[in-house]
Amino acid sequence: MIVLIAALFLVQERADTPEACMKCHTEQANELKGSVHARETCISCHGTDEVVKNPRGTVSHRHLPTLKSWRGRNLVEDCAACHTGIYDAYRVSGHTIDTKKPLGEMKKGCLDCHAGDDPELTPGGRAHGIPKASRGAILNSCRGCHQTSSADYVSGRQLYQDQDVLDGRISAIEVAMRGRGSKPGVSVREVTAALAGAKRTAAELQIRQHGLQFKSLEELRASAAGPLEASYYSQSKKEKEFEGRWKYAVPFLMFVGASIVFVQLRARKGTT
Amino acid sequence: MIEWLESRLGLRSAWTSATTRLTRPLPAGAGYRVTLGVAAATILLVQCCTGALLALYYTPTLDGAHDSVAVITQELRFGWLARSLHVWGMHLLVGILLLHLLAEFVRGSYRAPREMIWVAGVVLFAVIAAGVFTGQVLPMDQEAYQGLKIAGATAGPLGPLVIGSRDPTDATMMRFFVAHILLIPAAFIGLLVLHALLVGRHRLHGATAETSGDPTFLARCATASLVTIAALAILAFAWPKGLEPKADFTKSIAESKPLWLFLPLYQAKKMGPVEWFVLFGVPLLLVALPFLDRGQSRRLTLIAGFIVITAVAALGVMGATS
Amino acid sequence: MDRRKFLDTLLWTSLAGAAVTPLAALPGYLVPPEGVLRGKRINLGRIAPGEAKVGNSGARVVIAVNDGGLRVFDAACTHDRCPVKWVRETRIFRCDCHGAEFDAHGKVTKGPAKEPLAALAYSEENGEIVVD
Repeated sequence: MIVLIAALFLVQERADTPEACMKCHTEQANELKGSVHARETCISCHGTDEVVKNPRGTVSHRHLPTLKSWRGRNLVEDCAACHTGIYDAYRVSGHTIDTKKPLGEMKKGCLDCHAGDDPELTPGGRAHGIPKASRGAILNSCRGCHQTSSADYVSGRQLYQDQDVLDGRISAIEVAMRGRGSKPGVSVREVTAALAGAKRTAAELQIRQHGLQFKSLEELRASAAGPLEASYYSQSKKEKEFEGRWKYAVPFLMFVGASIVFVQLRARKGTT
Repeated sequence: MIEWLESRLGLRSAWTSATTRLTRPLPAGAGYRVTLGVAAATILLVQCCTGALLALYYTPTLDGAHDSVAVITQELRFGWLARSLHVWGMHLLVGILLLHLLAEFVRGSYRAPREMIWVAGVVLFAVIAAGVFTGQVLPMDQEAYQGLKIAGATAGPLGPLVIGSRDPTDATMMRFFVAHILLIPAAFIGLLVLHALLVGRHRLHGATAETSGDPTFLARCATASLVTIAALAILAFAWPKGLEPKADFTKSIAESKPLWLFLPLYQAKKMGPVEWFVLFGVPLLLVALPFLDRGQSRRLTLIAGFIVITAVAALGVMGATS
Repeated sequence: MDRRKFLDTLLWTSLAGAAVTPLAALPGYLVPPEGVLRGKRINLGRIAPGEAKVGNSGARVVIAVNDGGLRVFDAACTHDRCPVKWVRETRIFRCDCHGAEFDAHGKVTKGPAKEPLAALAYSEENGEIVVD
C-alpha cells in the first residue's frame, strides 16, 4: 500500500507553473511570447493541472476534459473572462448566434477576426499567437461574409476611418498644445477637458465597436470629436485675441503722453 | 457747491499750498535725478492698486495658491495685465530705488540736517525688499517654494517664527500673505510719509533762493511720474508674465536662482563669513552713513562707497553666473 | 481764456482720460465670466433607479435623479436659490424655503418660482456621474 502511494507521488507532477507547462508545450509557449498576450502565462487561461506519467512513458493531463480554455470549448466565453466590456458589447452585434456551439460552428467568434491568417500557426496557435488587432485583418474577415458594397461593410470601414481621424486629431492637438498651458491671458481649460473627454471616448469606442451598432457608435464618436475641434478652434481664437491686446494700451498711452506734453508746456509758459 | 466743499474741506487751499511748496527753486543742475524718489513712490502706488486687485482672487493656501494665480493670469479679464503690472512694477521699483539710493549718496544729501531722511529711506528700502520677498513666495511655483525654504533656513533661530512649523503649511502661506498685504504696506506708508514730509521740511539738498527752477520741481515730478507709468504699461503689455510650473512638494528642489535683488546674498551664503557682511554689514554701513561722514571732504566716503557697491555688485554677478 | 487756463484744461482732460481708461476695464475684472470661479468637479457616484443624490462643490449644489432616465439639475431653486430636495413619494423637487415645487423634468409646478430648474450636462466615468 505504501509503495503504491509512493509510486503515485513519484509519477505525478503538479503542472502549476508556466515552466512546468513549457517542458512539453514549448511551441505554444513561444507562440504566446510573440503574441499580444506575451505578458500572460499558460496559467492565466488554462489554470493549473496535474500531469501523470503513464507506465508506457507517455504523459497525460489528469483533468483534461474539464481544463479551462481547452479545444472544443466555447472560446468566446474564455476571452470574456478578462475582456468583459468587449464581451458585453459583442453580445448585441448579431454575430454570436448560439454561443453554446463549439468554435467553428458559431457565426463569428473572437478568433475569427483577431487571430489573423498566419498559416504557420499550429491548430492551437490561432489562440496562442493572437497578434495585435489589425484593421486590415479584421476587414478581411468581414469580407468573408459581407460584400464590399454592402451597407454593413461600408459603415464598418467608415467607422474605422473616422476612429483613425479622431486618434490622429487627439495626438496632433496634444502635441500642438504643449507649452501653451503657461501663457498669460489665455485659458487652456476647455481644450484640456475636451482632450480628456475625447481620449475617454476613443477608449470606449475601442470596446463598444464590437457591438457593431454603427449609428450609435458614430454618434458617440461625434460627441467627442465635435467639442474637441470646437475647443481647439476657440483656443486659437483666444490666442489671436490676446495678440491684439495692444489696442487697449494705445488710448491709455496716448493720454499719458499728452499729459506729459501739457505738463511740460504748462511749466514753461506760466507760473502757478 | 464748490464753495460749500471748500469751506468744509479746504481742499483748494491745501492744493495751492502743496503746489507752491513744490514749485520752489531747484538746486542748480539738478536734472531729473531728484525725481527718482517720486517715480518710485508712483510705482508703489501702482503696486498697491494692482496688488489689491490681485488679492481679490488669490487664495493663500499651499494647494490653492498656484491655481488661483493661474485663474488670474489666464482666465480673468485683464487678470494678466494686473499681474504683469505688479511683477514689472516690482522689478522697476527695486531698480529705481537702487538708482535713487545711489544718486542721493553721490549728491551727499544725507548730510546734516537731513540724516533722518536718509535713515528713513534705508529702512524703507529694507521694508520694500521684505515686501518683494514675501510677494514672490505667494504664487507657490517651484521658485517660490525654494525661496520659502531658504527663508526658513536663513532665519536660523527665527525660522519657526517665519515658517510657523517645521514644514510649510497653509498657516505659513497666510502669514506671508498678511505680511505682504498688510504689515509691510502699513510700514512703508508710515515711513514714506515721514520721508516725504522731512524732504518737504528740509527742502532738497543744494537748493538756494538764487537758483531758479524752470521747469519747476512739480512739473519735473509729474513728468517723472507719468513717464514711469507709461514705461510700466509698455513693459506689461510687451512682456506679460506667464505661469511658472506649480511647486511639487514631493520632489527635492532643483537649484534655481533667486530674484536678482537677492543674488549678492545668495552668492554670499556660499562664502561663509561674507554672508554676515552682506546681511548685516552693508545695511549697518548704510544706516550709519550720515553719522560716519561728517568731514569736509567727501572723497573718502565716495571711494569707500564705490568699493562697497562694486563688491556687492560683483557678488551679484558671481551669483548669477555660478 | 488765457493760455495758462487753456493749458490747464488740456492737462486735466488728458489726465482724466488716462485715469478713466483703466477704470473701464475694472468691472470686467471684478465680475468674471460664468464658469471661471467654478470649483471642483462633483462626483455623484452611481445612482440606482428611483434614487436621487445631492452633491456639492462649495456652495454650488447639484441634484441628480434616476427616474425613468438620469437627469441632473442645478439644485438652486429658481426663486431664491435655496437647494431643492427630491420627494420620492410624489416624484417632485421641493424647495423648503418658500414651498416651490418642480416636476421630475424640472418644470415649475407650484410656488413662487417661475423658471424651471437648470438642467446640467454630465459625463459618465466608470459608471459614475460627474458634473463639471
